[in-house]
Amino acid sequence: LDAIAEIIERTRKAKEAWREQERKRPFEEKLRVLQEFMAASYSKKPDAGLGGKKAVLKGRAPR
Amino acid sequence: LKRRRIINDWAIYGSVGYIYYEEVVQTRDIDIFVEVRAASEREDYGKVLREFKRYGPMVGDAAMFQVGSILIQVFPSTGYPLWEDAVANAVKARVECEQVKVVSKEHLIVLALIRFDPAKDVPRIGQLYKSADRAALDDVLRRFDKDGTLTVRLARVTEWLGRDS
Repeated sequence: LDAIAEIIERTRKAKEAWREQERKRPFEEKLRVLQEFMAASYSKKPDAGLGGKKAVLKGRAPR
Repeated sequence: LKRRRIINDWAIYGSVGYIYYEEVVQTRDIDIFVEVRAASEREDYGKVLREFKRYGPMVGDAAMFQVGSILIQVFPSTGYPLWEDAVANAVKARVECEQVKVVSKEHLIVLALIRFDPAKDVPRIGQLYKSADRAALDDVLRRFDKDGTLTVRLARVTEWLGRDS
């Protein structure tokens, strides 16, 4: 159990360090990542979990 | 639109607002509050929507536009005191050579407390709260949380945060 607790604690610290780094990233850089992500999501199937991006590209209402 | 006096002001909120302060998260669209002139609110909002249509098609009937590969939801803040306050107190940010405005961290928390989606809003409130200005947050809650619901919700989140750390 101690070993598991240590792994959880290390993961938490790593996540916090990553978040801290992300906080400092310039907004425009974050937006670029988001834009790439959005563009990639749109090419997925409508039922890929992001609410019908194909429908969106065809001008229909997303689900 | 602001330069052409079609809108008074505007600000980003929602997930992209969160991204400004924290990490990149999955989102469907960019949410924008627009403040139109109060005298003819409906007419002005219609004018804003017509302007947006020039940049891309309207998707569905929720004032959402597809501009390139990005969906943008345009919401009028005029006439809604909390949203008006969020736009008035938004912070200035820079994206390349453009200046944009993002709703303050404290307003983002309050807006997320209203929806309080367990999967989306609760973890974000937790993250934003860690570095929020507590006095400013209390001030927003004091002015807009009339029945205390949002304060109770925030207390639940901070209690969970306490358990996590």
